[in-house]
Amino acid sequence: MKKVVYIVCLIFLSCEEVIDVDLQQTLDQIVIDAELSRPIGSEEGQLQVLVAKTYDFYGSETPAVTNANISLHVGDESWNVTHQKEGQYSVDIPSLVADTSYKLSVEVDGKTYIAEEELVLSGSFDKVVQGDGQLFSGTETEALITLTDLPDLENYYLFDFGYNNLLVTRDRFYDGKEFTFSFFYDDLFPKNTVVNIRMVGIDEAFFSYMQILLSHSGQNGGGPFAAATSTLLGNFVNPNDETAIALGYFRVVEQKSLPFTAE
Amino acid sequence: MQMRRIGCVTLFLLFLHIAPAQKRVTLSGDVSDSLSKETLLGVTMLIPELNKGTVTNSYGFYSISVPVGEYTLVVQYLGYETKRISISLTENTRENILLDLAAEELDEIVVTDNSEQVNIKKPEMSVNRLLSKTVLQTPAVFGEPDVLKTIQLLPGVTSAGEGASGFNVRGGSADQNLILLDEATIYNSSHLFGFFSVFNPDAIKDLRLYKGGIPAKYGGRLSSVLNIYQKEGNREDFKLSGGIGLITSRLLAEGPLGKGSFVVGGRGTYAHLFLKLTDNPNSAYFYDLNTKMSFPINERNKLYVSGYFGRDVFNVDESFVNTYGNAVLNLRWNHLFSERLFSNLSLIYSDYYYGLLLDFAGFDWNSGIQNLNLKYDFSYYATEKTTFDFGLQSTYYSFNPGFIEPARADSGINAEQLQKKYAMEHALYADVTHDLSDQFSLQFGLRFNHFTRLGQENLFMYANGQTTSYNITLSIYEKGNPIGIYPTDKSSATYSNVEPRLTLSYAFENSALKASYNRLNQYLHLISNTSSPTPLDIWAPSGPHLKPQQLDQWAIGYVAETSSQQSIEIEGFYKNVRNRLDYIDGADLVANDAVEQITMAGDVRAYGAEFLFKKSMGPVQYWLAYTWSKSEQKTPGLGIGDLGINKGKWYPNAYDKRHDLSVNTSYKLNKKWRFNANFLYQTGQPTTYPIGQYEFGGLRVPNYGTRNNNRLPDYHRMDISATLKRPEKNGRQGQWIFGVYNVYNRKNAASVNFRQNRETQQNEAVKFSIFGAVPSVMYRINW
Repeated sequence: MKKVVYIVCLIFLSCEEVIDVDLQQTLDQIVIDAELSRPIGSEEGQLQVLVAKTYDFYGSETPAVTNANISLHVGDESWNVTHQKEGQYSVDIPSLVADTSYKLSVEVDGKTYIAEEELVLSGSFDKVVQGDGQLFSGTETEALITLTDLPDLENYYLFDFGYNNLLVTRDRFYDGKEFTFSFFYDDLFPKNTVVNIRMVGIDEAFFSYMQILLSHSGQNGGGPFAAATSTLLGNFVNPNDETAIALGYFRVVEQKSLPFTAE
Repeated sequence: MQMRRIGCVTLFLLFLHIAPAQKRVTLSGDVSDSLSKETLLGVTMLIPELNKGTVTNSYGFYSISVPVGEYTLVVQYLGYETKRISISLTENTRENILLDLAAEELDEIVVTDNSEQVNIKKPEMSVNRLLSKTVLQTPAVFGEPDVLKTIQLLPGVTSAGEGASGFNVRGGSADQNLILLDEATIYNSSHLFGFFSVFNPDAIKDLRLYKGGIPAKYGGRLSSVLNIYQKEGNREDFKLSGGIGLITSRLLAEGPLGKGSFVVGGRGTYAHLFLKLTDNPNSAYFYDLNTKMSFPINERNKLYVSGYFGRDVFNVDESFVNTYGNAVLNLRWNHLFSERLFSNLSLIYSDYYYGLLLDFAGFDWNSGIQNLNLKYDFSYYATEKTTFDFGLQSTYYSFNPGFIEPARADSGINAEQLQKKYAMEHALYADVTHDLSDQFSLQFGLRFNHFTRLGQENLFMYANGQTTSYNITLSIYEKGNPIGIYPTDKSSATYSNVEPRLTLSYAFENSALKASYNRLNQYLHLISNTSSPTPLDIWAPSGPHLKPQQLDQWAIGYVAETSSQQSIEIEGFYKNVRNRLDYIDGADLVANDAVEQITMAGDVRAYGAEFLFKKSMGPVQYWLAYTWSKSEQKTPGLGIGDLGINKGKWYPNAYDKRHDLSVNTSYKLNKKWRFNANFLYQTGQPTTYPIGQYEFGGLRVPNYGTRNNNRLPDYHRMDISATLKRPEKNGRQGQWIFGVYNVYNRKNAASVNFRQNRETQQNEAVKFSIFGAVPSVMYRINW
């Protein structure tokens, strides 16, 4: 919808302009980007956690938190999640299964943030082929994505098409069926280069989170139909202090990547 | 209950009070244009000997009952020569009056009998009237005259911006305006996302906007009533008028039809045809068609048939096709039971259709709303001091929130019909307009509404009726969890409301003080969480979970008229709304069958002051309007330890414009040239700016704080136009209209988005604006 308004006005005059806006900012809030995933159909789990802080909107360096104490708890077992570099922490676990509660605990500067989730099962990611369709400008590259949804469950999917192109979809209209849709890369998309397209099966709560996140990050173009928005909170809680909340999300998912090369 | 009793007793007492003491005779008839015989609405008729008067109603009919005697009738209407008729009234007399257009060279006219007094004394306020002529003269983008852009120049009326559809009245949302085209409800008033309105100004005669002081005859929307009356057509000669512009073109035909007349007019854009020539498979266009036929059967009976059909189409390479628009058909019968009792019976069918074909995702989506409406309105002109208006209305609604089906045999889409909803709305109203003395008049009305949402399947039931839930751990609102489904026969809901309406007027020599109070209920909600409606937004009826919105509005005002046709109107208003829907963060409205899970009811309050200075005669005409207002929303918590949206505090809603200044001027230089200019200044739209940024999923994400904590840059622009009349040749009259919209090319912000620059990877604030300076040319021709 927004693209259409954009096109209609582009016909007449240029519509976008960078402007100076003074912002009143609140900084140094903790942000935790945590994914515990396994490849679809396999059992070995991999946990990747990125801990950082919020920073100046016009700045460029994300301040990583390198001194966090992170642990993953499953029933009676615990794993220490070790720091690799620049605020990235990871650990591998031998088995990631459904109907089990996984709890992530992140402690930074004396404050502890906890998130607890269960594994979300995903449909299968079948294939990616190039199509020859076009959208608005005639220079787009079409990728045809085929997935098969799990029947009788409400399934949601997050696609990462590379180059900061993300998309979320739900099986509302294609429950249980094989479904093919198109994604259009714009003209900056490189040809003859392998890009990994990743599909992640997610739950409704993370789907809602990502929808808002994508609209905040300008992925959906903005434009005149802006919904009133406010702070996006994820699933981390601070059991000791309600006011000190961490942003970000901990999800436990299944994923699959397929390579795609455009000609 | 108390209200009802008080209302009935008051009406009854007033009825007794006006029982005539001496023999009264009735003077009645129609007032029409002498050349085209088009009826004229709102013509003032004054009887100076009695210092009493009346105005013609929306069908051009007037009726005034006075004691037997000899009188002068002064008939006055803007743009026409005032007529004086000597009448000797001994019995009921039918006097149809023809008015002549005023001579083109118009010097300042001194009005001696002050028939404008009739309008000043009337117990009505918060109403603005516009003639179609004013709309046609006001410069607009692409040279296409526009009803909605013109009413935004009135005090108290703003819009969310150039790409925004609809308009906002006194801090109310766009779905709170009752838009009537010849009495039929129009659901989406804009073409192409608000660039144009759906009303063809050539087919329109007159329009009236009530921002408050809404008479009991109207109901169902809280903020305003925009009444648009179509022309009936020239009853004497066949006339054609057309126009070709850069973007739109139009053609209108009118003429006699038997004893009556007809009008058929159409307009459309044709830029897409050029795209076709260049093999570009994309197109965006709109077209609309207005028709009306009138059949006067005899002096007491007239029949009218009106219709409207409009469509917007966006087609991107056949893979994205969006079609939507209104269709309306209206049958009306004016019947005079006697010289004092006028009635109008209307049968109306109204339809709004929205269709979206997304071939690249394999689905076809259709949604819409239809209604069938019966109205029977009566006006009883009892005496020269008293008029009764009463009637009943019934509407049957059918809502289709969406039907989705696969667009191709191989698309993986499952066909699905979202739950259709049905509702019935009945209303009974009565109101009396009465002069208590020479200075003091009042209009008091009562409206009884009865709204029923009919039973349906699949209506969710919730514990404690709590449709939204609060996640205490995460401090966020989430969708409510249904505990079951209502049996169909228990899933209906009924609302009955009484609405008192009162307007008072105390008149002085050339001015009057006014005060009003309205109570209004709105049973339909436009489900939309954006600052202006999108065509995809669905109307939902009130029901067991969604309560009707309810408003109380108080206003006081002062209006004064000087003898050189200048007037001043000052008003202050205060509006209080309950059950206004607010949306939880991240509310997903698309294809949502259980909208109650993502909405919470809140309150809105809006207040402000309006100032209007107008000069409406002479070669230089203008109006200047200034409004100061505030409009805020508060959504309290569910009562389980939560605070509510934005912590339950008042926050500016999307229609909060602190200052709104508009100027509309017109200067007639000579027979050939006329110049027009507008200037508009509005405080920027409330919006939310980031308070920082962070990274997630490889993306850089702006971090936002509280809702609407900032404002977009202020909006202002100036438009000018010049009209050149060619000399008349063989009965053809042409004119060239040159215009520039947004003369000083200010790129007003429609929105400001915060995102990462693709090349430098730095964050930036990007202003999205729609129109810079847009020149336009149009050629119009009348036969």
